[in-house]
Amino acid sequence: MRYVRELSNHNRIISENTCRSFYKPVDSGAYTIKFVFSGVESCTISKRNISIFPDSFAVLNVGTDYNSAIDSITPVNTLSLYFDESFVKDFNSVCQLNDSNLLDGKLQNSPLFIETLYPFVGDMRYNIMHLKSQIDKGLDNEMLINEYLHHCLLNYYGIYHKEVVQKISKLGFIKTKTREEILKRLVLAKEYINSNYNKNILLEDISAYCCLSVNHLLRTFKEAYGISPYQYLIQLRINRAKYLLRETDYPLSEIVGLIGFENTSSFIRLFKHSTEETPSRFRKEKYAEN
Amino acid sequence: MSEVTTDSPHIKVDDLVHAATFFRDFLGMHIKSINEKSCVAVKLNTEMSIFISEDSHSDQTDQIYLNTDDCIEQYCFLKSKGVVFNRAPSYTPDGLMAEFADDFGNRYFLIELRKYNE
Repeated sequence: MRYVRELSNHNRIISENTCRSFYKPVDSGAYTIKFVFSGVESCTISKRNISIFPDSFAVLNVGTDYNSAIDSITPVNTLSLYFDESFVKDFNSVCQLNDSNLLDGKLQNSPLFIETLYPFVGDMRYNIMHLKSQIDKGLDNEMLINEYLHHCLLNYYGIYHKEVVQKISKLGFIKTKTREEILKRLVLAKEYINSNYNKNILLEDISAYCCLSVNHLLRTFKEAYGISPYQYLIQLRINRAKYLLRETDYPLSEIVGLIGFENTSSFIRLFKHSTEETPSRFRKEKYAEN
Repeated sequence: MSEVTTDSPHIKVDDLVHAATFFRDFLGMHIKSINEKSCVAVKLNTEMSIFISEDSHSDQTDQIYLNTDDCIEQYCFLKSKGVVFNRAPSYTPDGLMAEFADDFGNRYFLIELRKYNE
């Protein structure tokens, strides 16, 4: 099933449910936000490989050379939103300029976002799930689509502020440029953990990926996010285990393997420590709720 | 289309006929007459009903909360019917909310409650 819609303001929506696909934009004259609702989509940005899971979304700037691929036994449900450059530029100006500059019509340059994975949570999740549900019903109302897209950008700006701007201010370097550069590298560290969470990740691998020494990585990661890279990895694994317990009927032993744990009992211990209940009790409760 | 529900509020209006037109044309509700000075607006097959009266009662309110599962969808739908919003959907700690008013000073809050802790 594939849904493609181009709006009169040149924003585009593509939603599909597929086991196999490869996409490389011919002319990436749009900002792209990619969501995955089930399974995983791989994305190569320059030389970086990232994996988009249902708990995160990826943002790509206008003009970025990238390709995305799906190769799965079960269908992967995705949604890609393509925002026209002038639409984002205009939105950005409205968000950032004061009233007098807006009246003078002073437009800023096209914004450049940090291209990485962001948490798919809060209002962004609510609005995109509503949009998806409308698409599944064959949404055709352009005014409604535009309203959802407007809110999607608004929500993204909120997430960007929380994930980037606020984190930059937590870093203890004097120079702004240094803080920004370190955060860009920490974002890469998180991206690496997110994309390789089910593998045996070494601190040295993360450190090489984000070009920070191990010590520097440990110190600044904790400064920005309040937890160590290892704690972040465990939290991520537990959250993805919760998703699999809720959304699939895979046996626990299989889920433990899928999220990168070698030992079921140590997983149960960590799960219980984090959620105050066992995985099987969590699953039973979620079944009962549904 | 997502459903809209209310807790059956009572409101005061100055002109019952004019109010009935507002609820019928803009909100797509059916009007059932109670007596010369009051009626009830109901939306068929839903839990939405509003008691309207030209008389004043102590249980009347001028702030009506309309709950919905999708505020953006309802906002666009009502806008297309001609409802003029005082406040487009905006974020509150409890969820998404939009606001419009009738000609008698009653304020309607279209609310989509969201659980952010899950």
